[in-house]
Amino acid sequence: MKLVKLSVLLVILLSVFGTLYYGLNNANTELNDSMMNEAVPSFNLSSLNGDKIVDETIFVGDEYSLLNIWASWCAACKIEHPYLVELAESGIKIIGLNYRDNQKEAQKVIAAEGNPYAEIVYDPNGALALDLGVLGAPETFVIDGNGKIIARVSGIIDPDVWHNQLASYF
Amino acid sequence: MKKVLVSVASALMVMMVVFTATAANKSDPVIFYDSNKDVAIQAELFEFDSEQQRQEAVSLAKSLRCPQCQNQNLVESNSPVAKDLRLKVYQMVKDGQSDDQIVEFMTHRFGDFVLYDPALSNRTLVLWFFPILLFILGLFFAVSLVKPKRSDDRDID
Repeated sequence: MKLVKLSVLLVILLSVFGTLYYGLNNANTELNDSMMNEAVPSFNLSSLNGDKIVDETIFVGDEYSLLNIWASWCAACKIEHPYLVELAESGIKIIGLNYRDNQKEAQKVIAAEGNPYAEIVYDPNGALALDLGVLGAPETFVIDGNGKIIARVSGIIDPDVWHNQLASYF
Repeated sequence: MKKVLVSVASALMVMMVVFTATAANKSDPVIFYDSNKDVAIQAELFEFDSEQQRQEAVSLAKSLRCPQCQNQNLVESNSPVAKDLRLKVYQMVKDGQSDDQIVEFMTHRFGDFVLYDPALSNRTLVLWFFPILLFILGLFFAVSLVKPKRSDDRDID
């Protein structure tokens, strides 16, 4: 009888730990998979340095681009920033969306840490981010040459995330 | 001993005062810039067409999860996203949009995750029925533990 109880306990333990192990190790960077294959919602916002108005046609072109949601108050964004600069230097087109931020603070970050963005959309009220279903910063979208959302990744872009999930689009 | 503690405590208090004074003077940049105080005010003071409409709107907002503070609904949460979405829900209700349309608006952007009650689908079957299953199992174990063993009973006679 004791043996049966013990083996039942073992089975339960193994299945619980197995499930937890699997769940914890499959870091799900697709917390939100909505809006796939849909066009970027139309918007009409100022650029970060206020010199022009940017709209959704900014994504239309020959190449795929990344849309990176970031802010000066977002600690994790600071961690991924250097890698984004690297990617930009290697020719990846990255559009930045400055999310619910203070314009001066955001400009300071760009001045100090380098600018990986071909263009930065200034979205202080999070209007475009809301239409995109952004859960928080950092979050990055892959947009194709027609302005359609192809993929989205929540969290920091590091070499692993880049090679496993994003590099294939470029 | 007490004297030592008192002097240490007062030294710490002095340090704290000095620190906060210098911190206040430094006028550090705001860490998180809440640009939508007026959105919050608009949401709190939103005027509905009727009390019933207000109740419907609020209960709908309560059934939606704040995308940022994921343990709170749109009414509980103070995050800017929640305030924006709350105002949006109120505006859509006043506009005459149905609950389904508003929920569709939210799930279209944020996924099913934004619904507090996960929809009943194949994926969520386990989520819904596992607790009930566990409960039944637990009940079964409880009963079998409490039930006296037959052999013991016979000996008493």
